[in-house]
Amino acid sequence: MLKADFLAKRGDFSIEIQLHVNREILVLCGPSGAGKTTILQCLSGLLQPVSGFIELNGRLLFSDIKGINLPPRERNIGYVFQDYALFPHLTVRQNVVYGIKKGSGNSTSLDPMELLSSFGIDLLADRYPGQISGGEKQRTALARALAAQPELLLLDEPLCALDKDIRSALRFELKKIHREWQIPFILVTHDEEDAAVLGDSKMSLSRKRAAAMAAGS
Amino acid sequence: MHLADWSPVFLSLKVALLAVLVVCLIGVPLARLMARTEFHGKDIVEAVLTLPLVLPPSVVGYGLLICIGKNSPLGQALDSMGITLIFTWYAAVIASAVVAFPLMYQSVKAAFQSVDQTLEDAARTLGAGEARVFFTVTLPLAWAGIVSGIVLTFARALGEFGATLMVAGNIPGKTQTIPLAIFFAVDARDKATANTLVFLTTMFSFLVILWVNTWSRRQRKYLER
Repeated sequence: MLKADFLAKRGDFSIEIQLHVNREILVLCGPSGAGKTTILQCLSGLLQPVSGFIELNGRLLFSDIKGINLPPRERNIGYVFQDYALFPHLTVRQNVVYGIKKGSGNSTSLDPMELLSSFGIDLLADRYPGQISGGEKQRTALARALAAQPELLLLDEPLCALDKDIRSALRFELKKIHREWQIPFILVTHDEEDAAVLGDSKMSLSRKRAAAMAAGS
Repeated sequence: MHLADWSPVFLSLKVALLAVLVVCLIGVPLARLMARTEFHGKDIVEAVLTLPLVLPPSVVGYGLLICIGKNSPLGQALDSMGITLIFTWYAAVIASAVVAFPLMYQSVKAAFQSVDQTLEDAARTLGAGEARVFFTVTLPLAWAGIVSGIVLTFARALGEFGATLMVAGNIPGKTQTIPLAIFFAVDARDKATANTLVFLTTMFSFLVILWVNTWSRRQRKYLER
């Protein structure tokens, strides 16, 4: 469960948000410039909020009062970037296994090949990102983020670079993946249809006003 | 083709390789730092770091004499420990390194800046620490630029003449590198030695550049579709 209430600034633009997300898909919807990506960056630790707190499964990730600001690598939050951000010099397989934690005996570590085939990219394992299609890149990015066994997955416009038919197929897949993984997803989109189909709950952000509204159950 | 004394060839290679090593060890971390930080007076620092490239080598040599010469504080401190730099081949390494440094710095910095920061962020969210991010993402993606920096540095160090002459002198067998040997062979009308050294240097440089070009194209095969 994610609990967060923070104020973030990017340039002269500031945004305040309160989040309360259980094992559901929360969709953050709004036009570009509304601060959607800024929120994801704050949650993942890539950007430091000005004030407030972020708590994930009882673990405090950020708190300006207590002076806590965990770096991204200690947050255990998966991030699927808007342009996928696949490592171009690594194969699909090498990309996917990049975040698998080694040597931790207690946790059941994932079998990379099983993961690849569950995302339908096992036949592409030895290709480079420059050699695969947009939908395949998206699956690779999803598999890579989930291979690290995150406690929360952030998705920044996961469908916006895809063709219409792949788009609806992937929407369905995302729903399925979410059911399988049983972790909260926060998905950012400017597409109302994506939001309607994917979101268990939805939060709208507007450009002018800093959104401050509780979502979820 | 005959060469009475091969020592300039071996000395030149030794000096150039060591200069490249020194420049790499200082230039790569510094370039990485400067590629991603902004501070007041950065332009001034950048200008100073590039200065040895545009200054005449004799000016650099003179500056080095002031810095590491026997009468300088550093020279005296080293002297008390029994170390002399001036007119040894160490001074030739220092001169080559200083003169070639901007070439390494500029190309490596450009290479680091060209690496998409989102990729580094992606690695961080996947649990990578800063060292792993650097060695598995930043460095491999900047590799072509680093190699070209190494080649340029090596070429410049191998050809270094002016500053080397001023701080290391021209002691045959001790500090006489190829460019110095060529100059003094011509001066002494020893055409055979000059011809051989010129031929060797030209061939060697050509082969190095050829190899690097072929190699770097093969390295970036992943970009092909």
